[in-house]
Amino acid sequence: MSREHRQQQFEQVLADHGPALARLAAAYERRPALREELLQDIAVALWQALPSFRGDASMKTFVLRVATNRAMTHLARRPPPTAGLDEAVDLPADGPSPEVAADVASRNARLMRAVEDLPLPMKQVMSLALEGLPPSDIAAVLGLSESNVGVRLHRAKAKLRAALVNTHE
Amino acid sequence: MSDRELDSWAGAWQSNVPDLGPLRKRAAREGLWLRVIVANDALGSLGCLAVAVWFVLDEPDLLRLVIAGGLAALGALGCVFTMQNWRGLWQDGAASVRDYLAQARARSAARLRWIRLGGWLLAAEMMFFGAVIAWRWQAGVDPGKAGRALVLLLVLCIAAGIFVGWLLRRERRNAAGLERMAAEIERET
Repeated sequence: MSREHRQQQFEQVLADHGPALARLAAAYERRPALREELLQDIAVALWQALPSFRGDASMKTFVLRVATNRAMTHLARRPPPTAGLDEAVDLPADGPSPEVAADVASRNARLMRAVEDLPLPMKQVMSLALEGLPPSDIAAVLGLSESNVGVRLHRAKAKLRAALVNTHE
Repeated sequence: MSDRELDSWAGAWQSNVPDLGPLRKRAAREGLWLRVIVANDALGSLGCLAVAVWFVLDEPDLLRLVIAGGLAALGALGCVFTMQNWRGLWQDGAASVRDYLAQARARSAARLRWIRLGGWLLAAEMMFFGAVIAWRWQAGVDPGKAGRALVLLLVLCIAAGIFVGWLLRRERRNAAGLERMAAEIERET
């Protein structure tokens, strides 16, 4: 793969999947500065890994797998603090009017926080499911059986539902 | 529980569209920086080998041969360590996250072995040089020079010890983090 072709492909991948990468980084790292660092690491990892893409899976699956791999390395080096940080999730949300936008942003922030707080095995599954990956692809990305993905997703949904209800009250 | 519930969460989740403006530039800069670091490591190892060759060719005697051997061994070790350390950068496309974690743990264990081996090699060289300098001092061969060499060696020992200790601590923390994560994931499997 020529450098120019690789550069083009990289630009295209960032254009198509950049927001998904940022959301995934936010799911694994709450601290803003470290989240930026993780996102940057993911982008570099993606640049390094692109030549190994053979088209066995979709580009989205490949990209999310590389991102999840890099997030694991990040978590091993910088484990999340045991005490919860009360930092706002600052991913902007689209919305038609300021009131609706504020409501949507608030709901999205709660969802983001609830996903962040999931235990790692459930977060892995849920962050990929929320990006629209089907269970078979999630199983391939994580190296699990589909039934195991189903079990984890079921538990993650229950935890997420409970967390969203609690934060709403 | 229904799929509609997951779909509604996914919709909300995906409506977060962060600004990625500077990411491309930062990624390119970081990619270049990684190459500089790899090149720097490789140059360091080559430098060790070059000095070793120069030591042998310049004025070959037994002591210089031993020093050159030690330097060459350190250079070769550094080269292997660099390869081992940076090879992981090109393995992000591993078949699955589980494979990746297994590779990461194996790489981390290998790095720990290399760091320990390097530390022992350095310690052995320092002890050897210390003994040679002390022997020269005792024999009265240029005692002023020998005294300065001993002080220099002591400083080198402390610096090398701090560096190896820092590398070990960093890698042990990384290994512990990987083990903790793997255990957490395995519990759910």
